[in-house]
Amino acid sequence: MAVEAYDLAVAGAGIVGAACAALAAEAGLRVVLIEPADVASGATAAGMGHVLVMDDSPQLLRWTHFCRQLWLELESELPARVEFRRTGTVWLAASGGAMQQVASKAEKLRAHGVDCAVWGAAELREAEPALRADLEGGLYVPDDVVLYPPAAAEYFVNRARWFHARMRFGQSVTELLRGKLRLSDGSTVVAERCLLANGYGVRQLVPWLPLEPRKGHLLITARMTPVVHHQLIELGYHDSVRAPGSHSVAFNVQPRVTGQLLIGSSRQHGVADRDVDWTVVQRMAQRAREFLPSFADQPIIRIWTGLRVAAPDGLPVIGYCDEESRTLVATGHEGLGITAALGTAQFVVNLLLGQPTPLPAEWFAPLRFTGSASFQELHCD
Amino acid sequence: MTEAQVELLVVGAGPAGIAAACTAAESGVQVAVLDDNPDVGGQIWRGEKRSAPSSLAAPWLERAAKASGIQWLTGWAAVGPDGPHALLALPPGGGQLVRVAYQKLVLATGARELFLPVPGWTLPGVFGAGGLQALVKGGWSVAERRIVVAGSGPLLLAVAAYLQQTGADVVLVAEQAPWSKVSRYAMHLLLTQFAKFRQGVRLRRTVRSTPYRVGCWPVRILGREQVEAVIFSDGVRRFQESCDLLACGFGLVPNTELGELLGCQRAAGRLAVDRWQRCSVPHVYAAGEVCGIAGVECALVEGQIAGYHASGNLTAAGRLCRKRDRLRRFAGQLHQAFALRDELRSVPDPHTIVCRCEDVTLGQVREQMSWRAARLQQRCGMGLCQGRICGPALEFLFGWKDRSIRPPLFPVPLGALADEMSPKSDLPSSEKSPSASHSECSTRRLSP
Amino acid sequence: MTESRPGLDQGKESETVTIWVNGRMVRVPAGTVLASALLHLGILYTARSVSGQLRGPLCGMGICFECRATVNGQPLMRTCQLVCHEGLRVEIAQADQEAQA
Ligand SMILES: Cc1cc2nc3c(=O)[nH]c(=O)nc-3n(C[C@H](O)[C@H](O)[C@H](O)COP(=O)(O)OP(=O)(O)OC[C@H]3O[C@@H](n4cnc5c(N)ncnc54)[C@H](O)[C@@H]3O)c2cc1C
Ligand SMILES: Cc1cc2nc3c(=O)[nH]c(=O)nc-3n(C[C@H](O)[C@H](O)[C@H](O)COP(=O)(O)OP(=O)(O)OC[C@H]3O[C@@H](n4cnc5c(N)ncnc54)[C@H](O)[C@@H]3O)c2cc1C
Ligand code: FES
Repeated sequence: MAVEAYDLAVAGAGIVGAACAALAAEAGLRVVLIEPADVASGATAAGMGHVLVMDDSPQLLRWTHFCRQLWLELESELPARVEFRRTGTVWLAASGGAMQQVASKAEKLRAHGVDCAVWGAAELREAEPALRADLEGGLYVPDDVVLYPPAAAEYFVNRARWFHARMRFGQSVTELLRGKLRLSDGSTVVAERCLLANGYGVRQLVPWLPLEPRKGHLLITARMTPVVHHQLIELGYHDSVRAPGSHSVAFNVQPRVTGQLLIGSSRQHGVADRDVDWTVVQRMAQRAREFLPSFADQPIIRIWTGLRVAAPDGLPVIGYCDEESRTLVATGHEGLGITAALGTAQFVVNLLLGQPTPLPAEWFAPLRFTGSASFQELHCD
Repeated sequence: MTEAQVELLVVGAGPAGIAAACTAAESGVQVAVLDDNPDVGGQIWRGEKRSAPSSLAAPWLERAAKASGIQWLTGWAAVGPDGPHALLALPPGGGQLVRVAYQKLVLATGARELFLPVPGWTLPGVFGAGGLQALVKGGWSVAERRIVVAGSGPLLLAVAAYLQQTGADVVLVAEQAPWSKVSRYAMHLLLTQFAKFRQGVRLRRTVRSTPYRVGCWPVRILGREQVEAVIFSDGVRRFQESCDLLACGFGLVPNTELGELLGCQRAAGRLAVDRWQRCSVPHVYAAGEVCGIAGVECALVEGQIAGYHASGNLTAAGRLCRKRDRLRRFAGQLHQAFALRDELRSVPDPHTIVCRCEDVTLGQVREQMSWRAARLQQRCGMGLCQGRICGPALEFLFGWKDRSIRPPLFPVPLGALADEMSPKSDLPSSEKSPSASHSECSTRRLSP
Repeated sequence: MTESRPGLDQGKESETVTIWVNGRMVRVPAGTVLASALLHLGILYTARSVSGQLRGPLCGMGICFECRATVNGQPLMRTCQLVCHEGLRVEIAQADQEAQA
């Protein structure tokens, strides 16, 4: 029997693996996509689908701006099921002195060419009347997007198929061999290069990578007449995310096309179980009720958790992880993997084809962690 | 949120839950019974206290009324576990959550009906068979309405007889199982369970004026704004039956969701239990239909075994095991007799809605490869019922099993999730308990 | 904490309670299940599905949510699991009620 040889084997059909497979296949590579479960059944099913520009660090700002741009360019090609909408983001100034934060955030974003507008209390009230009345204002970022990640991932899988990529569903990658991958059924796949886009599962195959799980909870309401129109995030978001200790909660809600409201967000550092933690849920519900007081009666119909995967420096991990340049990884997107899916795919294809990457390759290179033993050692808060 | 503590928490106030609660309470254990229904009695005895209770129900309802140390929390829904020794529950009105901590837990969550998608089944006027019965027990008079009872299982005859007694015009009872199987089952009853056979004969007599047709099943439900007629097939011919209401169910499905959230193992669609009705999770028991459909007597016996064992009375529990095993064996016969025929899988067409909450059609679902894919890509099972209606139907249609269960099991208002935990409080005291003495017949009927 | 458990407080035959259906006053026998009361009033459907179909109760036992309505201001209550009590207010979509009136 002739063994089929591929240029690229992709492990994981989350949104990242699916996008990479699609772009690589489109670039003419012979691609196989390997997924043990269903398309987008990992973090991609659990996440929020907010595509946004984040300014935590200059690198992240450039990166997310670049990534969002790719989504905006793809808009016309996406099927309706992806529910792509430019809802925009409103960063809410909740605490005293927050308007100053709004101003400096606006300045930072504008300096990078990101369109945004500072809203006072009146403008905010007019745009989002359901919000509590005493907010001072906010920062409106019009080009941020909300979409439905599992449908986007499926779109990429179909696109990869269209460009002749093969699918090996029901199998996981269990071992990396020279020029080959071993699958869970014992068979091997021959591929020139392989890309590990299997989220937190990357740790099993590349144990030295310092990846930390961060559990997040989400709540969703029943369908209702839409009353929230933008993705709403409290401006303290960054602070509460980075707050020392292992557990933080911030107001972060997203209107879905169904009329449902998706309510975030929590982070539990280093927690990898998937159980619903009711004390975290309670804090999220409190936060949501504080900002949207009229929502106290809204029924929550489902609560779930998902794992974000983070590297110590808060940047994604994309690139070759061996000296021979055979194995690539694409993970560590923390809470931005939906945003970063297309950008990551572009980055990976550039690496594969030996082309210059859109951002300096060293920023995200996995090899930046060689020699370091654990997450804790690297973690410098 | 408030917090309360009990020694033994029973979820479900049907026969199994009542039996578990009574046996444990009589041994001195402090018990709370929580049920989403506004009534005590579960599916079969609900509303019983308004009419004269049956000879099986009466002693148990009386015992429940007399037992001290049982708190009856009706209208309370268990929404999910909070750690290994507590459940969160939503009291009536839904304004707040109560965390009920327990030392031991009995899951007596019973069963629901199996609904299979039939073109037109979403029309108003189409009910479950047990569903219509429950609504009539709740006070709806269906006197003189023309009703077709269809689907499968012994419940059909029971429902038809009940409806007829309340004055309804039951025009047809249509059982999908073939005569060969139904008659073999009747024969088996005659030889092994004479009482049950007699009960069946009595039911059949009650609905004597109504044709009982076996080997036929609904293939299309007609009507504009509500059901007007049903088309049946017997595999060869089709026939049409006009009606005002359709009561249609295809058997029962154990309510295993709460057990699954607790991490209890399932086997063949029910909670797996050992000889003492213990689940795979420590301190958790299951009894009654949630461990498999076996009828009310088995539910009572299993409830007692769980109640005795939970209160440390192994001898009493042990004495009941043989009876339980016999009743379970008997239930096996029943499943064979009323096994669903393959033809039912081809009843829905691509436009037939499968997931009623999200209006997902069979055609949309069929493109997907699994439950999870259907859920993620088509929103099947993502609605209010959380797949409790379409899940078992899709398991029958496609063999899809791994339906994911997520809390809360029932919607909880945001404000109730947000409320601070207040200091420990007692559960509401049971001022009244279920009582068999209210036999002032059917106060429930509404005057026209 | 006190708790009234309507299901257990069933009264004598003659007792009725007043409920409000879309603002209309209706008297029903005490102890009547709300879904049953609505059916009795000829309201065969209480909900509209996602695609606009009319829906009424199916399971009668709190599973399907097809009998949902806003009760005492709380949306998505399952009317088949509620017993009518004095002063209960239930709102069902106006258009639907008109259609059935
Ligand atoms: C609560 C929460 C909210 C979020 N909100 C947002 C947001 O608003 N915006 C945003 O941009 N991001 C958000 N994220 C982050 C985003 O969801 C993730 O970064 C993104 O989904 C990661 O995609 P992935 O493809 O890398 O991983 P996954 O979706 O986890 O995919 C990995 C896949 O690999 C498969 N796999 C596992 N092991 C193997 C193996 N050995 N071989 C082959 N395949 C394997 C898995 O089955 C899985 O399908 C959020 C995350 C969480 C948890
Ligand atoms: C709709 C229906 C009608 C039936 N009619 C008849 C009949 O006419 N004649 C006959 O012989 N048999 C009938 N049966 C079969 C009969 O129900 C059983 O034989 C017997 O009642 C089983 O008792 P059980 O205690 O196991 O469960 P059940 O009687 O089903 O009681 C389970 C209880 O648990 C409650 N519950 C479940 N989950 C939760 C939760 N998360 N929170 C709070 N409460 C919860 C339910 O509300 C229910 O009251 C019927 C079954 C069904 C489903
Ligand atoms: S009729 Fe199904 S929940 Fe009320």
